[in-house]
Amino acid sequence: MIFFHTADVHLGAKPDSGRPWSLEREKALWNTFSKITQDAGRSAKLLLIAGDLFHRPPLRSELNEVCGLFEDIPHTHVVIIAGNHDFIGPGSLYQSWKWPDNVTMLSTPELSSVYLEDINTEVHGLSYLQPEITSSLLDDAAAPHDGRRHILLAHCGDANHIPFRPEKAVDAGFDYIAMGHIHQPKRYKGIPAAMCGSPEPLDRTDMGERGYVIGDLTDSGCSIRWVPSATAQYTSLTLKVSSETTTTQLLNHIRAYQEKNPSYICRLKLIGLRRPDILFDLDMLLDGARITDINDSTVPDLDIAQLSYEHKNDIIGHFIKQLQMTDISEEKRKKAMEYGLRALMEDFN
Amino acid sequence: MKINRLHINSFGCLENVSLSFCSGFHLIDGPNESGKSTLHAFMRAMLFGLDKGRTRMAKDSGYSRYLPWNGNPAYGGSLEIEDDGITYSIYRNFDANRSTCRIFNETEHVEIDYPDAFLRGLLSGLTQQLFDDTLSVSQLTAAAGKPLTDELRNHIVNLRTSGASGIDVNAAITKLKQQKRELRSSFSRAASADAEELDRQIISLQRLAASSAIPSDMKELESQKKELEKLVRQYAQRQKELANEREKDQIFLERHQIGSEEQIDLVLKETDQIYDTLNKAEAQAERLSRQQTESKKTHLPDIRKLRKAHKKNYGRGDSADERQDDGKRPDKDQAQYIPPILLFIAGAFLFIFAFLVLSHENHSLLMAALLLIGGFTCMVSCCLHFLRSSDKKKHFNIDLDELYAHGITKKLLGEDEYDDADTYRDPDRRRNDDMGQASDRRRNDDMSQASDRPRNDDMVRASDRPRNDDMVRASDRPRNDDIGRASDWPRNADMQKGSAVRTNDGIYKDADMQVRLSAQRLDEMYRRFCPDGDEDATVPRLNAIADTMEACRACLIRLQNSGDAYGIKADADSLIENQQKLADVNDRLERSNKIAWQAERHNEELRGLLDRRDALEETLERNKRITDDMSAIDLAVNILNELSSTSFGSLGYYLDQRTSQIAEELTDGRCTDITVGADLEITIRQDSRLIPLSQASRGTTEQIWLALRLASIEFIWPDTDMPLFLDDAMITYDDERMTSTLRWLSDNYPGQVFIFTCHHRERKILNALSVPYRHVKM
Repeated sequence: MIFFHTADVHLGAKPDSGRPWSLEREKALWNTFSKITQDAGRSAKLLLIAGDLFHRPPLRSELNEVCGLFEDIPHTHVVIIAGNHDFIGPGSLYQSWKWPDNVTMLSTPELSSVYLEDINTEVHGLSYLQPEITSSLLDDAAAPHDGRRHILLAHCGDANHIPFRPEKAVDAGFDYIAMGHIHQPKRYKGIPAAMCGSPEPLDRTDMGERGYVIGDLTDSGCSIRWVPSATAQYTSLTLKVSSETTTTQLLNHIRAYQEKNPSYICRLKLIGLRRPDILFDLDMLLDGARITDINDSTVPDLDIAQLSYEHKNDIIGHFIKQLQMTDISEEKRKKAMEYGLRALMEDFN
Repeated sequence: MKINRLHINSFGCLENVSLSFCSGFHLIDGPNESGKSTLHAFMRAMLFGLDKGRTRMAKDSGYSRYLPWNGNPAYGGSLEIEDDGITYSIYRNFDANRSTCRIFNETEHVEIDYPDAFLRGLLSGLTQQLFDDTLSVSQLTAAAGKPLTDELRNHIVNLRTSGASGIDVNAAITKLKQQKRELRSSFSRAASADAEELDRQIISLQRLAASSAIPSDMKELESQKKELEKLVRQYAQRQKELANEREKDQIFLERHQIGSEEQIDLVLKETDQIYDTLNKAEAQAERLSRQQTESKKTHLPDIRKLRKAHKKNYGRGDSADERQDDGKRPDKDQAQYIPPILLFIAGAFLFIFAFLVLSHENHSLLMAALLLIGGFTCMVSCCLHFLRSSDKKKHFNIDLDELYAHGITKKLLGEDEYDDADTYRDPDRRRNDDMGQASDRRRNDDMSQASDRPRNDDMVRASDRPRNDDMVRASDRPRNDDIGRASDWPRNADMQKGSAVRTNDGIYKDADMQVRLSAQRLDEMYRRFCPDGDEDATVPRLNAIADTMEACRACLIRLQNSGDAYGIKADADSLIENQQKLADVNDRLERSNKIAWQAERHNEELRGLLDRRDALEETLERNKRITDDMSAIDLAVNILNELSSTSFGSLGYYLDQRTSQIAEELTDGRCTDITVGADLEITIRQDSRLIPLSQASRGTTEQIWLALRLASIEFIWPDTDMPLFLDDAMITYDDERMTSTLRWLSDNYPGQVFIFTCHHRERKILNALSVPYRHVKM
């Protein structure tokens, strides 16, 4: 029995809000999910959604949209649970929503299940009714020996969201444990369990590829494979500067890099020595390329130690010494040093 | 630093002047306008250049003031100084078009690159302003101003421990503050304010959303609603059906023109009567038919005799033995027309022959005439023959049956009813009489029946109401083939009377007509009371009518039943009950929907706020960067301020101490406790009183300011012997103060002292003090 496993779709989210590509990313979440459901309709009997289908408790329009997708795959069962983002709160439409016939939502806070007779499969799961669950509600979950296939659908993984380790559930009798919550995909060796990850990255912390899981439940067991589905990827780009490097040069380099990798959205880190009187225009870089944030770790091309020695008897030396003795963060010290020295030495040279 | 010599090319009133100097005191005296101050200015100008001035006061600038009086373009000169064992020669040309500055290292015989920067370094950052405020004391300008403070601050901070010169801390701090202002201007206060406001609204709305939960029973209510709506529809439909049932019954009764059970009984009774009559008539007709058949066989010869008698009396007529088996008249009727036709043809031929003869050339008139006469005769005969035959037909075209009937009747009954020749000869007349009687009778019967018909307008439609006249006419209207002649025959009543005028054949015909009439009547009743019945159906009409009447009776019973025969009331009660339940469920559902709608609105609003909040993140991040940078700048500024204030703080203390000391010595102990404020406000403590310097005498003030300058010089150049210039600086001193001042300078001041004066007191005192000096007479 072929099944699809996805989670953390976060429909309705606006990745990189305020940036020029934000709308494109928002649409990509919907488009990718739509493609997954269509593929599931063509080849799978079961589509599992392990929580956080929506970024927030859904609006009516969003639910209608999703129901439309599910109605287009009437021969595929869909089983959903609510996660910590789209939890079933007092104002959630999940409470009163009428799903299409092929869709089941396991909406109770305690473990419940639905038996899908035509595929002899029982899916177990529970939903979030608040943003956090610190109890280990799944540790005692077990599947009965009744000749059915049993799947556990779980949105879990860290201390504040149902702490659960699938290694402990090896003997629980589940043919597969479909997990969600962590956006980074992960497969558990030797255990029929997987964290499928989000089908699209949501923000700059979602580095790397993203996708979903396709599985096959047979009498001999469960086999799964991970399928990439994301249309964009957050990557880290580190550029080393020199004393000749200018902001424009940096921007041109970044643009060339992104032309070769059009799906990349970069987190930029600058390292190296730059001219002491130059500060890179970070806003220009942010506005000129698909860059989410910049870590400017460059330092002015000054030998502080040498400078301190040479100016040990004047204000510059005293300034360096005083700043080095001040109890502040390294980042602030670096900035203050740069600003102070640049101001003191501008006329000095 | 020591000034060794100078040469003035042309500077003010001085031209081509060379002077050399040594260590110690230099007394430059001369009368007014001798160039003392000009010399002083030249020395300053050689060290710092001349300010050409770009303002309205340019004419008062040093450049203009010291333009060579003789217009010598060699506006400038040279100055040789010695510092740290190295001799430097400074050459300057102040001319605006040829302004130059060149410095030569005389010791190493090299020209110095970047002479201005070198000079600044050589002078340890000594600016002209600082020079004027410290080393150059002019007449009545001993008091130092604000610039001294900043200059002192800078120099002290930077040179306190003989550090690097040329660092303007104040400028650095100012620059940092400017950068901070620029950063602040790009800081989005609105974003921060918006974010705070949004956070507040989000929290508030989250609380509100939490309190307005979507009711949990909505699904169940929806389900109940659907069930109840279905029930209500079913009951309503049933109500309609039941109402239709009743209406159907009403229509059924109307259609069948029944308004009461009495009417039903009447119809059934009449139907029975008709059926009886029909049965009897049919039986009689059958019996008579058999009799008739037998009679025919028996009396056929008599009929033939009778026909012959008729022929004899009335001419040619139909003979019974001439009737064909199919009852049609024999060809004899048509045969009588053959002679006249032959006559006509013969006549036509004769006429044609006559014309042929006439047309021949050699025609015979006699022949033609004979032919014409013959043809004419044939035509006339033909016409006469036709006339005579129709006459006979009228009288002799009698039906065999009629003839038979006449004969049989006469034979059987023995009464000669046909002696009335007129009646016999005019059968039409008899027919009409009988028709009249029969029609009257029928009319009366039907009228009586019509009076029984229900006149209930609700029950009987006008279109269905029998039209008495039509019914009567229709029923009595003779059928051409049978009834037409049959109407001549006596009616049942007449038959029952046993009237002698009825022959057996006539009775048969009456019975037959009765059957037909009864059947017709039955058909009429069938059509009336079974309007939907099939005309061609073989179902007995009586049964059909009876069934219909029973159906009408059942309808009547149902309609007249005071109870709920149709079940409408019971159903209506159920309908109302379920409608009430549905209304309750709808109310609850509406309330729940309202709450759900509100919760949904809150949710949507919250979503909008969260999205707006997210959109501000980038700006907030930028703000954070700016804030961090501003904080770093503040830190740098604070450290610089701290460093400089620490230095200046110590300067303040030093200045207090040293100035007091010097002032005490200069004033011979009269001023001992001097306090120098941050802005160089000097206060004198005298006999436990703090007296602002401004309240002291002019001389005291000048002395104390001099003391301050001297203390500052010591602080700024602790290791360098800088030349001191006193240009009529002691003009307000009395001899005593002058003496003490000169004494102190002689004892304490390590550097060169240039005294410019137009008086002689200084020379006297120096002589008195045995202070060696070089006298320069201007």
